[in-house]
Amino acid sequence: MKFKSISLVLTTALVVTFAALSSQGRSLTAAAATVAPTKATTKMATMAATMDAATIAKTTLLRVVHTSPNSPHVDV
Amino acid sequence: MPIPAGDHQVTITAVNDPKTVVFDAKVTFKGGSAVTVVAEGQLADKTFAVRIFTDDVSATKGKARVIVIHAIPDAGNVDVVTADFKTVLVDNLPFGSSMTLDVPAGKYDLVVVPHGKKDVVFDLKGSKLDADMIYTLVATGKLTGKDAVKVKLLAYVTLPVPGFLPPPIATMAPTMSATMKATMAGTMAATPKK
Repeated sequence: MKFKSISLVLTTALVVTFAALSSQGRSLTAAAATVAPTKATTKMATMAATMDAATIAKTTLLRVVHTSPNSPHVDV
Repeated sequence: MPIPAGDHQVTITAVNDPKTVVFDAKVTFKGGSAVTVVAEGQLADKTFAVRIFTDDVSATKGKARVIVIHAIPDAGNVDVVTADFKTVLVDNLPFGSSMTLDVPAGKYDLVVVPHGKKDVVFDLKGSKLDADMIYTLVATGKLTGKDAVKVKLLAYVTLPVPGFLPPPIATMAPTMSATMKATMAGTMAATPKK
């Protein structure tokens, strides 16, 4: 059973595809060992920083990373 | 992305093929936490696993936080050391594990090597780590076999989120794989390059 792309489905009708999230990962090399946060992660952190304690207690920050080799194709 | 804390039935399928399920399990996401779900390994050689790391996104108090995740299934344990091999920041990290360290902001000459050796796998000389940033480094790829894939180090940069609590020290990274390894979380001392 070999798959070329995979998606993560949560029962709360939340659908996360690996492409959308893994695109934030940038290959790090010696020449570019410094990277900056993406707009998406900055936006998420800024939004999360405004949450009150009650909201934080009910919230999980989720990141999905697809590292499975030889399964390079993903859907958004 | 923020999601409601609680139990979720997580199902991973081949794209456009809901019958080809590669992962299906109930996962509990704790409130006030941040997690990284890593799909790693391959189906073909039965190393595929989904591993869940609890990230420390709590306040960094002016330091830079580095989270290292080892996701190369056929690589041995690794160290993260200074390029002069005098200071070991991450020691003997096994596949499927992560380590978190807070360091002073600055420039660092770092390399990733097999545990106890000097064969550089990743050369990170001149890495600039800014204050109050969280750098998640995920080592990926496959070293051996016909399906070997060049190893890469993926970098994700996020901001700390005050109010979200750090994970407990020495938590386990839950996974459906039989090769579950400990996740080590702690704080280590390091000095930036002058």
